[in-house]
Amino acid sequence: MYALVDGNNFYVSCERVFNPTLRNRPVVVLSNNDGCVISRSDEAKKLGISMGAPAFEYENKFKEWDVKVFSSNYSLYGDMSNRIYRILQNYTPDIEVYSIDECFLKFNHLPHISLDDYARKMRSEVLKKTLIPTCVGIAPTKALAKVANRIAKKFPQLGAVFLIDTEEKRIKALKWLEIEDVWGIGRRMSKRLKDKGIRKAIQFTELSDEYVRREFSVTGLRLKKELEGISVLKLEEIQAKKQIATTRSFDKTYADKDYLKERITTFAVNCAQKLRKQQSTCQSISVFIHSNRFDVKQERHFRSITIPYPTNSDIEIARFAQKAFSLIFKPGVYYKKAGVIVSGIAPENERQYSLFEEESVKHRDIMHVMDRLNSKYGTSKLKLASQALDKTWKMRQEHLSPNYTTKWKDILEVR
Amino acid sequence: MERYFRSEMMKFIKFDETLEFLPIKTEGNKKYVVVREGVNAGFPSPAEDFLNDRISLDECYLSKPEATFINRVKGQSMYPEYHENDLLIVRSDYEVQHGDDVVVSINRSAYTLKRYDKIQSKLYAINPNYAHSVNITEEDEVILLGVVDALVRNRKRKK
Repeated sequence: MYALVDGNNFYVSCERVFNPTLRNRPVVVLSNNDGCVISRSDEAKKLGISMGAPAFEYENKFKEWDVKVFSSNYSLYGDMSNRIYRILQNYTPDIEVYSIDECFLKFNHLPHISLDDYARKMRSEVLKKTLIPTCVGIAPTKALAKVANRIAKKFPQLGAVFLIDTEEKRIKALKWLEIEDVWGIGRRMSKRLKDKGIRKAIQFTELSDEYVRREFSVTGLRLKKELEGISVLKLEEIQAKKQIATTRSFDKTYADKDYLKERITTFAVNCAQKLRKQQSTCQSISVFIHSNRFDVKQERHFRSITIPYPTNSDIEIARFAQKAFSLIFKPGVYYKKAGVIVSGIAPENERQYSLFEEESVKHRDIMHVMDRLNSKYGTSKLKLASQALDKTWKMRQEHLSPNYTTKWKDILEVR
Repeated sequence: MERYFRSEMMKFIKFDETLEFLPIKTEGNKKYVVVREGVNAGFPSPAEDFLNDRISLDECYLSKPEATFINRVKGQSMYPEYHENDLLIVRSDYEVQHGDDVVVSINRSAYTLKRYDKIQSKLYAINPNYAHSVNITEEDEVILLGVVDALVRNRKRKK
């Protein structure tokens, strides 16, 4: 059986953990650069604020309705996500982090207590330890677990846990589910299906295998099997111990922060290019700087940063590398060697982008153009400004909450 | 220094001509051997086999990172046991017991530090000058961030 655990209104819930005054009132979290709404509290949903609503259009309404607005604080959300993952790991060794707020779990051996009780215990442990409410959907396949999760979320009387463990429940669920809400059915595919009169998920499963394969390729057929209760999608495990590094020894020693920062940026961009070449993304960036190893006391500084979303963008990787660098750089030390290492590598197309569409997709296009121009006109003709001019790319974050769990100066104060 | 490959192991000749077999590791098409730096010069340090990691405070106080929050004390409400700017290690996995100090929000207030009196079912500030205590009834919404597990206080002024 597969379970899908996900955080309810995850980003808003993370903000509420540290700020109880936000409970029972409308709260929204905006995407990178404060562009549009990407997470809403139930109260905000009731006001009719839609997902993806542009922030500038709603500025006056937010004031009028007394909506609390936050910029996305990915260090905070990433940390809370890791906490939940650590707790879930105690319930099964087979776990896939599908996105920052969703995990697939596989239960191979049925525990002595019922799966329903097991899921409820798991959910309440997550709630107690992290104060984040979650929903759990359990079913024989990943696609059905996704459906069960949706039902758990839509019907509060179920207590946030729902199992599809009988044929009767499966059919009832698929009769209820709109075709456009099926996991993996995009806007274009759902339009094509609707044109054929298919409105509910159950009708999709009634089509013949040959027809589905012909019209919607093998991906569509896999989805059909999954909805029929035949498991074909397995857990995607994060490949461990794979990393890409760019490290250099300098011609002489350098103590100049700006010079070193520029080098780190260039190394980071280099790693990002390597990632894109093999169509991968990374989820962790490490930076090291060493002084001359023949010094009496060699200085070796190292810092690793986990990124809350997989990326292979020059901009993102350079930004995190610069951040790591500024945390380890010591004035007065003459450095001889430096490097950037990226790890947590996963195939590009395996990751889900929806929550970060705005940021990732835009970067992907920019990166694509940069790669093409650079291969046409010679390496690194086109660079990030920080590589040559040390202009740090700055995000618009006007409503950023403190980094309660990752920065000393931001930790929660209690009276 | 001479090195040559055998089937599975690598022969590594040390300065004093004793042989050491090191396992060959593989990663894709790459085969390599982990050689510790400085092994081929001088005598090995007698402490080498006894090297342990340094004492780590994280090991003691952050052993359950998924259920630990760090907070900073502000104000005097829990003086003299707690001082302004003390750091609190707060555990969200503990069950609250009588006499525990807890970080709580009462009816959606900001989080405060209070002592829990189970017998009288109340939360109170221990500083007599802050003599307000809160009786908890059924209707009250109490959100518990966690129970104070340890306290870190700087004795020297830090910048």
